[in-house]
Amino acid sequence: MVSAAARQTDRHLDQVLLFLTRNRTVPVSGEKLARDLGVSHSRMFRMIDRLRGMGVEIQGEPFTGFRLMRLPDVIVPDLLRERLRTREFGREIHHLYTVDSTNAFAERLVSGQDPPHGTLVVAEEQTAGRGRLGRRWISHPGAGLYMTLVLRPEIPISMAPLMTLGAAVAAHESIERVTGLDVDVKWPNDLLVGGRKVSGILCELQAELDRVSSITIGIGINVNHTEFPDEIAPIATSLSIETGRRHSRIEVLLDFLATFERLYGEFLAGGPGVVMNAWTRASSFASGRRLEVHDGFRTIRGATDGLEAPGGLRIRQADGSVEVVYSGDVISWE
Amino acid sequence: MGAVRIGYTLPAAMNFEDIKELVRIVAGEASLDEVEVERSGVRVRIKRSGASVEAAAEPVASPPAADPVSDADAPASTPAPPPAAVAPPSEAAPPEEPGLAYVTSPIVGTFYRSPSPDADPFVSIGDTVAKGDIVCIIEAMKLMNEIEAEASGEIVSVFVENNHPVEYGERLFAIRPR
Repeated sequence: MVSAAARQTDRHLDQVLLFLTRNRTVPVSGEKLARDLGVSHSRMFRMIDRLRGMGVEIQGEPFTGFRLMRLPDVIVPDLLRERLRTREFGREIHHLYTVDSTNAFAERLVSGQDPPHGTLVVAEEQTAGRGRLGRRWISHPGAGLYMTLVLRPEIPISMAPLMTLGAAVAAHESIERVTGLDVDVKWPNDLLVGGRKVSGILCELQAELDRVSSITIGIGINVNHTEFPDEIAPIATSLSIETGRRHSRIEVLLDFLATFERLYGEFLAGGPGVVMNAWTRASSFASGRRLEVHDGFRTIRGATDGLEAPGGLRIRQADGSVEVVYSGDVISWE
Repeated sequence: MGAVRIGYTLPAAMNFEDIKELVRIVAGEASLDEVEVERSGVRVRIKRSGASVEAAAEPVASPPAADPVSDADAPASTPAPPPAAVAPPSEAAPPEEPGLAYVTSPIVGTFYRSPSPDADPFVSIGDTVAKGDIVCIIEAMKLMNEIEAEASGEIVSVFVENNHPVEYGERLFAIRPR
C-alpha cells in the first residue's frame, strides 16, 4: 500500500524537480522553495537530500540556493506530459517514488476509482515488483522502467490477451529505436537481447460479464541496471549492460507510449491480425524454432508453427501433430 | 435462388456477438433461407425454420490451410471461441444439474486454483462463497484473469485440476446457491 502521506511526498518531490528544472539558470532559494510548496525548511532539505540520494545532481546549500546541474532521468509528470506524442496513453500519470508494485497500485486504482483509458502508473522503485506465479521482479531504484498502463478497450474478453502481445511488440520497437540494439520477443511477451531478458510483461484483466472493463498492463524494462543477483545474472541483462552506455528512461517511455498507442489504434480498426502479424515480424520464435514449453503440468517439444488467436503458440511435435499453448514458460530453445 | 450478397463483412474473430448478428441478418432478410459460415475450424449454420431462425455450430475436421499470420493483408484467422449458447463447448461434459450455478471460463487458458504456486487455493469443495468472490485465475499469455463466483452458495464441484488448460466456456466450478 502507499499511504496518503507518501503520495503527498511524491507530489512534493515532483514539484521540487519541476521547479528546479524550470529555473535551471539561477540558484533557487531554499526558503522560496519551501514557501511555494507549503512545507517546513527542514522538510524541504530532507527532500533535497532524498533526491540527491537518487542520483539527482543538485548543487548548493540552503542559504546560497539550489541549482540543478543536469536534467535528471526522473519521470516528472508535468515534464513528461509536455513531451508526450499521444492522445490518451500517459495523459493521466501517477508517479511514485516508491511503491509495492505498479500493478498492485493500478489494480487498487481500477477497483476504487474510474481511471481514464491510458492512465500510466510509473515508479522509481518497487519494493515488491512481481512476475508470473509470484516470482520477483528486480526493481533497483531509478535503474529501470517500472510501469503499468491501464487500458479500457471495448473488446470481448477472448481478445484481451492480444494486448499483452501488443505491449511486447511496442516495447520491442521502442527499445530498438532508442538504443540501436537487436531485440527479440520470446513467446509470449519477454524481450531478449543476446538471449537474455531485458523486459517482462504481466497483465491483469478486470471484466464484467463478457466485456473487458479494464486491463492493467505491467511492464518492467531493465534500462540502466549494472548488475543482477547471482541467481538471475545468467538470464537477465539491461540495455546499459548491452550497449555500454546509460540510456534515458524517459526517451524509452515516450517512444513506447506513442508506439503502443498507434498499434492499439490499428488493432481496433483492423482486428487481431494486426497484432499477431506485428508479433510475428518482431519475434524469431514465431515459426520453425525448436523449443520446449512447460505449461505447469506438461512439457511440449517441437518446432513453432505460428500463432493461434488470441496469441497461443502453435507447436508442431515430432509426430506431426500440433499443440497450442496458451500459457507457460519457454524453458529451452535452439 | 442464386447467391445473395449482403452488406456484411465477417470479422476475423467470430464470437457469440457476431453469431447473434448473423442471426439478426438472416431474420431480417426475407430472401435468405440459410447462411453457412466457416471460420477456423468452426462451422456455423443459420437456417430459417418457419417464422423462427435456428443456429447450429460444429467443429470442422480440417482447419483452413492458410497460414494464419503469413500475409499482412489477410486478417489472421481467429478460431472463434465455440459460442457457448449455440453449441456446448465439450461433448463429453455431463448435463448440467438443475439448481446448480456453474462458473465457466471466459477464455482459453490455464486454470490456477491459488494466487501463487505455494499459496492456499482460493476455494475448495465445501467452502461457502459470496457472489463476486474470486474462485480461481485463468491465465492466457501472461494475462491473469481473476474469475468470480456467479452466485452465493456452497462449492460442490471442481471440474478442472490445478495448472491444467481450459477451453472457452468450460465448466470450472459448480455452486449450490443458498
